[in-house]
Amino acid sequence: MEDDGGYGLLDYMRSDEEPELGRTVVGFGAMALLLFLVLYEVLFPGHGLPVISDIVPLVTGVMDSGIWFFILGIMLGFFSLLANILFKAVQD
Amino acid sequence: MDTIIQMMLIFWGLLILFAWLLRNGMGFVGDALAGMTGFMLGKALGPGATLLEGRSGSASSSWIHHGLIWLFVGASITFVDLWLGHSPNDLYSLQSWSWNISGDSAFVPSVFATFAGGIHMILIGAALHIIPRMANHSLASEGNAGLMALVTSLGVFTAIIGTQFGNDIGNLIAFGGNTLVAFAALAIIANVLLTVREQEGRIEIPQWFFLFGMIGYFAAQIGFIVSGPGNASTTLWMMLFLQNGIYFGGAAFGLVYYAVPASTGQPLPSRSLIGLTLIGTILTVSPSGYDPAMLGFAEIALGPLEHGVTEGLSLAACGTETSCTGTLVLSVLMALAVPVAFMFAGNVLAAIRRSGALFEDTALTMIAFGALMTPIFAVASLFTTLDSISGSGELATAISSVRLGSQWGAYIPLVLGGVLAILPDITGRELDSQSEGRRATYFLAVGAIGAFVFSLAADFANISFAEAMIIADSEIEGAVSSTASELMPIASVLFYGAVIGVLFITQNVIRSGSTGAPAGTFEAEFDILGPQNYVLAGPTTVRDLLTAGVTLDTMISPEDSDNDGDHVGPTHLSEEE
Repeated sequence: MEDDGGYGLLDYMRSDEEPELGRTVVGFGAMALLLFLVLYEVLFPGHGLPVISDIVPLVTGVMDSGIWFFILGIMLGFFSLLANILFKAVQD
Repeated sequence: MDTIIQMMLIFWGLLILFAWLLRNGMGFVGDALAGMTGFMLGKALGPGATLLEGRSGSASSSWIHHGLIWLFVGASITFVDLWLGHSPNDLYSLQSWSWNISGDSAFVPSVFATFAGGIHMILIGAALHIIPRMANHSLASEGNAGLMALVTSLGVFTAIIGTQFGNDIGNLIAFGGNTLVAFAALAIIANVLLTVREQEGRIEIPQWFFLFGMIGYFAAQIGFIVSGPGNASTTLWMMLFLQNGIYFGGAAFGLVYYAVPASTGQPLPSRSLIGLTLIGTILTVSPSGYDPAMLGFAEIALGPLEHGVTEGLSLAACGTETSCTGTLVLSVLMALAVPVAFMFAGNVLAAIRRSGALFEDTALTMIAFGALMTPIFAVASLFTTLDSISGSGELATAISSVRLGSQWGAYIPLVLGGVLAILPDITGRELDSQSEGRRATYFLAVGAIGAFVFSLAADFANISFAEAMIIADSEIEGAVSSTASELMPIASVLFYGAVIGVLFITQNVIRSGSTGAPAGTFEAEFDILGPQNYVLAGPTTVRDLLTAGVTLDTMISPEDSDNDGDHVGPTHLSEEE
């Protein structure tokens, strides 16, 4: 019988590069969201999503140019810089 | 006397006077001034002087970090400016917040953020490290210098906000912001001069570059003021040319000349070329960075200019009735700036190629890219600038593209690379990730050059279109070639690469403060810089050793005379041979 190292699992079944828990949760979340959207479209065809469908028309007139996607990226970059600086400041 | 010649004589005279005073001192007056300036930088500030801890290197680090963040902001606003160049009303929805940003309204803030904020702060940060280090003396007032970084950032922020009002009050606020930046710069100059005063040896060339840059910036302003309002339409542009060349150009040269040997451990190939670059930077007029649209910036930075100042310099054409001595002098001085760029690039590129660190080290790769592009854009700028100031105007459409390319494709990589090379010495930490740094360099390079190429192609399409309209005798106001209207969006999207590149570098630098390896950790692995061991076959000179690539860390040992007693031949270059 193969040695299971005392963990109740065979050696070849134990990975040594476990993904981070955060990534796993985000991955499952994305899949769940996709499944929910598909399910909603199947169950309520042609109906808008609750809440979100009410909000989107409010920003239609605002973000109707491609530049906003780039500005969104710049804002993300800026806030990531800010987060890095704050992290560094409170690290100690 | 011709206005241009008079302005140049004032500028050179002030620099010669400064150099003489720096070398010979001012006797007991100098002692009194030094004591008073030291008091003003320290105790006179009251509680303000104790705001910052004043740890050695903290001021330099603070200026560089502020500068990097402003550079990212500057890149972002430049991107918006480029986008609004082809779609002027894409941000119209902001008008619901009373924020009118359309057409070229992002241009002036982009100049403030990129140059008054980003580049100026990075260069001062480098100066605050390099000058005391070469003087072998600590900075006169570290706390004051750190405080001035906050004042400068506040000034730049105020100036940018002021430009968005679009009225006289806003312009006044922006002018106030710019004045704050100038006051902080004066405090830094005083601080640096007090430091250099304690230097015992001679002043080194990188120090001269910074010192002439800082003093030259104000010397050009003095020349502008002394020449009087009657000549403002010429001297304003002369002032901008001189400030660009002596401060932004010269200080960048000084930074790179210090950073490359400090990073590679090898001297630059030619000391004569370094000296010639210094003299050339002072004596010539750099054509790079010229754009008539800079009038908008000058009017805010210097206050309203109601003395016949027009958009762009317009010189007298040579003819039988008009004297064109000034035009000829300025053209020759601009043409002479091109060999200076070649001398600088040749020296730096040879040093980096010899180090073998190209494409390995982020800082050196970025410097190499900037150095390669510097002479190319110097030639391009000479064409567009001379075309514009001579009144020919055939390349007027392309002038903004060439300015964009020379700033983001040559100048900014030089400054960024230089500061990345000296940063481990300042903060005590290596860059967090070299691979991410290299990726950022590629983003910046492809983004800036791609944007320049497509923008230039659009400009030439517009030039052809304009010529076709003239031939067809049907001039339509504001008409743009359909090819140009397709190319311009591509140029602006490509420039987003430069924004991402600067963002990645800034993030990398900020992260290196907490997660970067201690400085010097990778030194042992950096054997690509030179041989570990070197065997001497006979008497040789230090120059030959340095030419052979020996570094300060190379172990030199004499060849075993018993085994090879009557060996006659050239000195072995290394053990591997």
